[in-house]
Amino acid sequence: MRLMFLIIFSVSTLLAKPLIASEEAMHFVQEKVNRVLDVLADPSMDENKRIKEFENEILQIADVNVIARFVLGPYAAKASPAQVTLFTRAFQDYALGVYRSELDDFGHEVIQIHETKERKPGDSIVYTTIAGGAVKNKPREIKWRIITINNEPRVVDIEISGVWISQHQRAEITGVIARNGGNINAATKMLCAQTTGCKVTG
Amino acid sequence: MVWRLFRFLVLFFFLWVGGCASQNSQTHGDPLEPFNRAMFDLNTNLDKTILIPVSKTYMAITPKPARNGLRNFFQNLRSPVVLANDILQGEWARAGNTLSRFALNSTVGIGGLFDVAKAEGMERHKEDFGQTMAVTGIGPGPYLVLPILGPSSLRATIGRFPDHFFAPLTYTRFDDKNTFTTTKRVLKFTDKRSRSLQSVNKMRESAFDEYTSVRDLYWQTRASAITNGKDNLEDLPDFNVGTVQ
Repeated sequence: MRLMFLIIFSVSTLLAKPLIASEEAMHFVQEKVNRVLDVLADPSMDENKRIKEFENEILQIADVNVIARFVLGPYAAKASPAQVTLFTRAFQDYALGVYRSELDDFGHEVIQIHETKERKPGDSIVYTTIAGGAVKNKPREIKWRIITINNEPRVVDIEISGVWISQHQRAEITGVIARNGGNINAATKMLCAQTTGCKVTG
Repeated sequence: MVWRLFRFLVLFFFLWVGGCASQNSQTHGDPLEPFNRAMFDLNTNLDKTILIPVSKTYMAITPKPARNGLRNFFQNLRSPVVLANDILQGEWARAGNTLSRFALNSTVGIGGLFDVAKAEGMERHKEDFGQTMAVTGIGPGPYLVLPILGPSSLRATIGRFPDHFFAPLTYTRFDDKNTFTTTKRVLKFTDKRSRSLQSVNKMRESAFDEYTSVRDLYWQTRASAITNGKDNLEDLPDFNVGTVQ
């Protein structure tokens, strides 16, 4: 009887685990995106505080290290740790700069979560729609790729209008590196050149 | 004619074999890159010198309702092509949607000038023979940049020909067919370009290399269109979490 109970318990635990991971990913997106939207819509914050808060939230949601290594593609393994660190810093500054330039357009949107699909344990896609605010005439379907990193869910890619952003960045970045003889410093320099106030030096 | 058909079948066979070998591949090669880059530069120059000014003038002199009517009209004209491909792909619900949209817009929507079906909750979708070939397992072949028409693949380029036969206007006789067809193409192209002025500008500003950016956007949006937005989760690339520094 005891053995039977243990078997049933183990099986149900194994089956329930992906469900819990998927739900965790769903709650993560709901909570974090709402937090970002709250920051953007908060009239009590001045511009500088809003930008700082926004950047803090983004860095908590996304794992820049993992994304930076992904966009380097096969070149990540060939580069030195120092090169990867420099690239990651330049990539982070660039990405935040892009978001910063778009901040004024957003803030009054709402997110609707539809479903979550688990790709494999610790790797889920959350399907959402962003409506209202800047997209009130054309709600956008957005997919979030959530990966569990060090027991914490993190966004590593998002898909808008059929385009996965990290995958697109990888195509562009690896293209630049390939055209520069495999030197990832070329990509670091290029990212820096496109970022206002870039402080990364090779 | 027989020789043309034979060449088409040979090409079809090689694409199919190639497709079976590389169906789950995430990366697409670009063996024709030097040719494609030359075509891309040509198209970019044409765009900057002719298309953008013409599109801006078109937007300035044509009121928005007229532009929307024109777009709806062209989209409605393409419905038989979409319907044929919906049916060939066995997408019966989508075929029903296309047929209902076509019937409603052609009648209540005054020949397609008004998209009344959309207001009834029937959203438009696109299909073409290139997508139909993809659904049957035929590979995309190499990336191709076509003069004026822009990014494509060998499969999508070949798919344009059967689509031509599905279009009802192919069989319609006019006194001066060339004038009508050319006017239709120029208007359709101008209208389409005028609607992407902002997004293309943004892409040009943010792209590290415009050619690579457009190529990736093409492959990704095309893959999404083929699966009708449904993900094949196994095809998504892995993120290397284990080697984080």
